[in-house]
Parts: sequence; C-alpha cells; structure tokens
Amino acid sequence: MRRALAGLAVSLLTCAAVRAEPFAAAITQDVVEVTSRFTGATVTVFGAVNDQRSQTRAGNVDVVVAVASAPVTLTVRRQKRIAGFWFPADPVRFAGAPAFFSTLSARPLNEITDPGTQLRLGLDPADGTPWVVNQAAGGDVTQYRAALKRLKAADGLYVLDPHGVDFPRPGLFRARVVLPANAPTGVYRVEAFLFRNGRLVGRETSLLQVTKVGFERAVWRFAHERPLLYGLASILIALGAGLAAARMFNPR
Amino acid sequence: MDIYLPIAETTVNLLLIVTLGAGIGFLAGLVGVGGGFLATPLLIFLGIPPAVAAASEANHILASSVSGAIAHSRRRAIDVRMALVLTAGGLAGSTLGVQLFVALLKIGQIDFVISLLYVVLLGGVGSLMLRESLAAMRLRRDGLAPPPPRARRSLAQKLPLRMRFAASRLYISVLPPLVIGFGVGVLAAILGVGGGFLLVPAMIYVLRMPTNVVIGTSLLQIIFVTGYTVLLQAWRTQTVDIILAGLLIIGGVVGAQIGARMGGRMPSEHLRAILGAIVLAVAAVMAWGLLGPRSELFSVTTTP
Repeated sequence: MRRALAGLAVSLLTCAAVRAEPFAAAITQDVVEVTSRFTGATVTVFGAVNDQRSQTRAGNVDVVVAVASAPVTLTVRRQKRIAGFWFPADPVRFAGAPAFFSTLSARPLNEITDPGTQLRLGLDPADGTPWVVNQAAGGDVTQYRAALKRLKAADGLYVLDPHGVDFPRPGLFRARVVLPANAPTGVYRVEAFLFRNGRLVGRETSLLQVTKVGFERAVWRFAHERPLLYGLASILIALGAGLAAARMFNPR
Repeated sequence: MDIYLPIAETTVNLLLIVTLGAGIGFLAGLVGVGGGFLATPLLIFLGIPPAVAAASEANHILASSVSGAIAHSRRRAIDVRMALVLTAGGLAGSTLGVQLFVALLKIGQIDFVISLLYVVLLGGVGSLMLRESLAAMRLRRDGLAPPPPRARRSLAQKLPLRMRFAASRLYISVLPPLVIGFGVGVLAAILGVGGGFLLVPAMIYVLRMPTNVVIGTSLLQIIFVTGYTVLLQAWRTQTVDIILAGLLIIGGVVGAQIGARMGGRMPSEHLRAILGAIVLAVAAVMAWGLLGPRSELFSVTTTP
C-alpha cells in the first residue's frame, strides 16, 4: 500500500526539501481546465504518512496543505469622507501577494506549530513577510493587512480551513482544495507539510496548472494577440446582430 | 445555467445576463438611450471587473442601437447630417475618454470617478427631464397648447459656421453640436455608456431639435461612437469580452425592437417622464453608495 502510493507520488511530485521521514503526497490532477462551464473546481491532495500513530488529530503528527497562485500586487485603500463623499484614499501596496491561497489542516495552525514557522513556510500568506509594503499610510499597516484578508476571504480567494485535512485511514491523509469560479489562471504551487510535535519533518511540492482550454483559450488569445482584429470582429458581430434583429422583426 | 467569461475571467448566470440585455434593449428602443448607464453598474455589481463591464457594454449598446436605428429610419425619424456632426465631436471625445479611463484605472480611482459622474450627471439630467415632461403632461391634460417656442434666438443661431439641418428644420452653427458630441464622447468612454441619456436632452433643450427626430439621430450617433470605443478598448486595454457582449446582444436586439414599436405609440412627454424617473432612480442608488453609511472602510484592487 505504502509503496504503491509513494510510487504514484514520485511520478507527480518535483521535490522534497526535507527527507527526515518517509512522507508522500500527490494531487488528483495536475491541470484544471477552465471551460465555458467552469464554476470552480475541487482538487484533492492526498498522500501517505509512514506513522501508524497519526490516525487522529489528537496524535502528534500533523499534515498541512498550502496552495497558492502566482504573486500579484494588491492595493488596499481606506475610504475617507471628503465633503460627505466616500473617497478611496491612502493606498498601501502589497507586492508579491498571491491572488489565491488555501491552507488546509486538521486543526488550527497555532496548535500545530509556532507563528515563526508558519510565517517562514508561508502557511498564512496574508501574514507573511514576503510581502513588501511600498507605501505605508500613517505607518500602521496592521489594519490594511486585516482588511485585505477579510475582503479576499469574502470572495473565497483566501481560505484558511482548520478542518480541511482528514485521515480516512491510518497513515493516509486527504485535503480538498476548492477553487472558486473567479480563481486566477496560471501555475499554482501545491505544498504538503508534515509536522511532528510542531517541528517540520517532511515537505512535498508539486505544481498545479489552472488554464483556459478550447474556445475560451482561443477567444482570450485572439483578444490579446490580435487586439485590433478582435475589436473589428466584435463590431461586426454587433452590427450583424442588430441588422438581423431589425430584419427579423420588420420583414418587408 | 452558468457560463465562464474568458476576458472577464469569472462565471455569470447566462439567463440573468440575457434578461438584463433584453431589459436594456427595451429601453433603448423605447426612449432612444442605450441603457448603458443601467447595465454597466449592474454588471459591476454582478462581479464583472469595471473595465470589462464598460468596454463590453459599449459593444452591446452598438448592437441594440443598430437594431433601434433601423426601426427609426423606416419611420424617417433620423437627421443624418446632425448625427454626423455630433459623431465628429464624439470620436475626438471618445479618444480622450479612453486615455482618461486608462489613467484612472492605473491610479485606482476609476470606480469613484464613475460613481461620482453618475450621481452628478444622472441627477441633473433626470430632474430636468422629469420636471419638463411632467409640466408638458399637465398642459396636455388641461387641454392647453404648449407654450410657443421662445422667439429669442438661441446660442446655436448666434455662433458662426451655420449649417442647414433639413430633417430637424434648423439652420444653426455646427459648434454647439460639435461640443456636445465631444463631451458626450468623453463621458461615454469613461462610463461605458452610449451617452443617449445626455444626448437626447441636449438635442431637445440646447439644439432645440424636434422630438420626433431626436431618438433616431441619437441612436445613429451612438452607433458611430460606441463602435469606435469598442475598437479602441479592444486594441488598447483588451477588455472587450465578446461572450459577455454576445449574451447581452441576444437579449438586447429583441428588446430594442419591442421597445421601438411601443415608443412609436406613446406621447413623447410620457417617454421623457419614464426616462427621467429611471435616470433619477439610478442616481439615487449611486448617491447612497457614495454618501450613505459604510460598514467596510477598505477596498482592494489587483494589478498583475
């Protein structure tokens, strides 16, 4: 059983930074296709922990799965009243923040490991240091960071789920990563971490590609690679539709 | 039934968008406005990025205006020469408008500027139209003839470069229509609207065109200006979502035909009263958003 899972995992995974303990993880698919019917997707990350004692969350072994999309720059503004109007002012830029992330575990991160380790591994990227704040309004970024987490969480784009990992059988873990319909396309980094008594003892990284396919991809490429022609085509479609409707409703 | 939009990069309900298109198209045919001032805010509310909503809506307005203009041209209710003069100003205005749009998008203030412009413009135009049309309705009910047109010469008659507009029975300077076309073009590009809600009152109250040619003429001008805006936005910002526009168009062209037929049977002051009331309602909703209490004091925008 262990060998079978590990074999599958090796074929899908790229690296393992910490090889202290036998640990394997894999994703059910390495490509998520965005088609016209795309309303989001669920990707399952699963794997094996070579430790028969790890069956419950009461045990001293923890698995954390962290998924993040490519970094972007997010600008947070505070609304200020100017002459009665709400005006978005005082921007703070978070450069290198993921547009989407989901960190799943079987219990709250703070019970698993210390804040320093969480920060270092980027388990909660919203708290992570890799974010460079270019402009601080009033010097206090805490409120902005909290607002960013709140707003992105409301859109389903920043997920911290302390019940997202389960152990269907001793030694086997499973995590369901939910990608919402507005999840960005691109390459996602999928990482599985193994902790023993709060210490990182295993780490597996793989890549997940979220990509437009077929007609959606063709339209997107047309719009970006031949923008002038795309504009002309858009106009012709509109003209044709208007003419057709006029003829249909007013036959001579 | 949901569908993924490749440019907007989000999923919307197919029937909701088609229905929205039909409602907007109905207004377009009925009162000669594209309805973009309703559709763009609604699309943004549905989660479409503002830039994509404005650019795709321009493409939708193009289709419903073609459909509506053909219906009006069969009733010979278009002043083609006036439409071309307005368009000349409109193309220059739209060019500037797209530049402003890109600049505002960059500094992250596009949403605020759009909302503020809506409140000011819609509030002003809406109350003007509603007051005037209600006064006209009262006169008709009392069996009184409308007051005779003012004998005083309008500004349009005093300025140089006068031109004869046969269909409107006007001999006026081309400068006011050029300036009006320019101003509407700028706003149209920023707000993602055709500008009919500004053009129609401007043609009636400033140029003093007869109301029966105003709607067809406005639609013709909107065709040229939105067509140009679509091309510019597709080229410069890649924000035209043809799938989104297509869904709106399917509903829109049908709605426009129904609206144009009903519009031909209704007194024009009723049409203006309806338009005025809708415009004021949208302005009120927008004003509440800008002035009302807020629970969330922060906003976030993404730049790749």
